[in-house]
Amino acid sequence: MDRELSIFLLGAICLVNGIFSPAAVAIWTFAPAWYPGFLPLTADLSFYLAALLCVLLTLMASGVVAALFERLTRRPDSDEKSLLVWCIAAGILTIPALDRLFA
Amino acid sequence: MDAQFWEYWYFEVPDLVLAALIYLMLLRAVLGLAIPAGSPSPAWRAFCRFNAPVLSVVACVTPRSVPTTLLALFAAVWLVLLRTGFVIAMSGLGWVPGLED
Repeated sequence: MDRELSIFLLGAICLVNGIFSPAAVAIWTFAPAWYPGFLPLTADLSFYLAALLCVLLTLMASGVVAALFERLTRRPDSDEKSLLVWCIAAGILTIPALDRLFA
Repeated sequence: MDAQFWEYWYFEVPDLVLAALIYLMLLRAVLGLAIPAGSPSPAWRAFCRFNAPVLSVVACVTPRSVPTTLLALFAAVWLVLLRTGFVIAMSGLGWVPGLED
């Protein structure tokens, strides 16, 4: 798969998970624990930040799998295969969000 | 820093350190967008050297294709996660100021 297409697909998967994942609701519930003190704690702003945090966490958690793949296969740099592993890992993390997406 | 800060130093000091690291990583991510990577500025190079240990730890669990600016943002989020887990754990033990009363 093309490198740019992989990155676009990865971004799209993470965005879907950030918006529809049940984890975003859980992150929102714990907003007082991570919410920056200099921002006003309003319902809509905290929800948007929780969704953004969920997008980043999806990207990072699936990135750990891709990073381990790169280290174990001794790759000097990321290539199409490691990006594909990254996309697949992000897709697996997005499975719980599919219920709400297609509900 | 008042008396309560030192009374609960086992919570306040790690919380302060983690908060400082989070904001430093966010600053590195934002400044990395404006300042080129090979900038000869002594202040920027010192700042990057100061952040390097945290970034090198995060780089171990991040694919190599991720640029340094995004790596700093990932580091900030990992630190937010760590700080949140720390606050929740300390709250569960009742070691957070104001929760014992």
